[in-house]
Amino acid sequence: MDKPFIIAGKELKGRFLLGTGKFGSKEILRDTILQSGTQIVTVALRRIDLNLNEENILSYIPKGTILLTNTSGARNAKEAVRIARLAREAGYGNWIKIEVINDSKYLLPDNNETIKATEVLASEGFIILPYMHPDLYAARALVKAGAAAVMPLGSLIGSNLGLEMKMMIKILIDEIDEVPIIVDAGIGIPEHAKQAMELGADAVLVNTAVATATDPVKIAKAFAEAVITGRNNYLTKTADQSFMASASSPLTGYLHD
Amino acid sequence: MIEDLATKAKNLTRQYFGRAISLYAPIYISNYCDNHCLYCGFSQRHDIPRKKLSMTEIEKECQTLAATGLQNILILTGESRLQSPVSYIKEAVLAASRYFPNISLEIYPLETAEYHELFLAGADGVTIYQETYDREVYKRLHPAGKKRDYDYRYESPERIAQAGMRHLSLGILLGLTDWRQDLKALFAHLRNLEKKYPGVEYSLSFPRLQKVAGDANDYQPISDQEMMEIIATTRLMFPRVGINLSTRESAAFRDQIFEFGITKLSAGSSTKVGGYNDREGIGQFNINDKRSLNDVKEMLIKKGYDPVITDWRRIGNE
Amino acid sequence: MRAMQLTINGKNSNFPSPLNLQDYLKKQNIDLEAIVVEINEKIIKKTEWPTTILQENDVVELIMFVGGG
Repeated sequence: MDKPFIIAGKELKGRFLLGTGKFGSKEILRDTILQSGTQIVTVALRRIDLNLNEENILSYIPKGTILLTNTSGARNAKEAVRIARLAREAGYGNWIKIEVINDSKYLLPDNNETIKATEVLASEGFIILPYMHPDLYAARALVKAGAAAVMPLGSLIGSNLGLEMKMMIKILIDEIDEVPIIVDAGIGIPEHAKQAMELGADAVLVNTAVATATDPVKIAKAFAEAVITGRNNYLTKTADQSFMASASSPLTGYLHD
Repeated sequence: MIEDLATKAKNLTRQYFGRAISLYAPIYISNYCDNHCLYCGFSQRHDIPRKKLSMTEIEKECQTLAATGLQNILILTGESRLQSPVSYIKEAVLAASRYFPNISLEIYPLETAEYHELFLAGADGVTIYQETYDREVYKRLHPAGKKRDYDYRYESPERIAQAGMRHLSLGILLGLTDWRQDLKALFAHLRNLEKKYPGVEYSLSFPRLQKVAGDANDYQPISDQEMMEIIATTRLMFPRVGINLSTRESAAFRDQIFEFGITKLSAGSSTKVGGYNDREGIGQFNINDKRSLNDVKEMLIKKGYDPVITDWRRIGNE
Repeated sequence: MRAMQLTINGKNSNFPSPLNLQDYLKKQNIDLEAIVVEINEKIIKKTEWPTTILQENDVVELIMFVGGG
């Protein structure tokens, strides 16, 4: 009944993406990934602290999980491009979440720099999932630049406020057909994830709400379920609308709520 | 239920368009046509006097119309590259530009470069109706002439948008086939264009077929109620798209229905070539609302609407 | 053996010269599997580590994957 969720030609098993930042321990992270069934996780790149003997996080991420390297730390396109190239060089694939933030107060992404970085990296063959402030012009520019998906923020990173940007995200969902729309940032409770899916988003990415929970494994499972429920609700609603449209009374089919 | 639909449509129209109604008039400059469309008064099959205006005559038409205060016109031709080539249309646009700030065209499908040429000459809108989106019906109704090419016509809006035109008007000729199917297809066509060319201002028209002499085909007449449904549904589906209503419709019907979704009305029209100066000749369709521009303006004002004669002035098309 | 100044991960220090990159990395307590090395903003491929000699005033970045949103 559902059409497949595909990014850059790769069909994905689920519509719940997980961020790996802010977790209490790597073991909990591993369990969370396994129990939630998520197939894509974000990671970041940092300078090694030579005084610590930090374990390689990658050994805690189950084999087969797609690594989406976040360019966090980048304040402009040039830095984002540099980080992406580093990630690729490390040998862990070329899926990049472009996150360009030059704002430590709100952590809002810079759409302009994000578009520039997308243009450069797309020409180098990266699979790009840009994190952006939902703006239709910017989304179109990102698609044109070669993005494999568009990731509008639901609300400010870490705010747990849910879909503050609901109307703007809906516009992207309605107008952008070429790539999936993945709501990222601000999703605080499973209900938010469900709403995002009911709106028509293709997937959601959650980090803070899971990592900082008392029981990340439990809440990650709840998020994963909420995503499935939300998606099913969306499919049922749209199926109803097209059924009604072909029935004898076409008007109700045309009327939106 | 239709009351409900009508009220919603009225409110949405009020919300997005306020109480402004745009007025315009058509100028037919040539009725030479190579096509054999079964339903049309200008078809090759009809032995009617064919006329093509000279530039002097075009100027006269413009002068007559401009004197009424109108600023928005629609220049029409039949389909004949021989009689009304692009160069002829371009000259007409250049002439009309001296009288009217807003010029739209309802002509045969052109190449992008040709549309662009006309845009540079001063036209900023093009009207092109697919007539029907049912390929089988289309094939039957357009047996000969270039209009037979469904796809070329269907793709014209894209070329028009690419050429830089600011206004694009689409439509279906009601009565040719099941209107519900055609409406759905029209909506899909528009939706795709909106996504691809978001900067263009779109409008829709729903001319109701008037059978012409000698046309033995069966058509599906549309009732006033269905017309109402079509307009209201369109308004709900596309809150910001313009909806035109021509003088094919009677004065009584236009007055009653316009509040439920119409944004543009033609007024004081003639569908005869050179009709503003010459009473002779055969029009493309019968005018049922014969009121003058002033009469229509008065009606609008009485109902609390603002008849907008021009909505913006072109500084230059480039 | 001479000494030279190197900046490694933002920290300026003296190091013996000549210094082979691979040798240096092996001496650190890090999992070489998943790290990336940049010298003067240029990425040094793993295959090049054994033959890369660090020069005076080189700016070296040693980068690894960490948890992140």
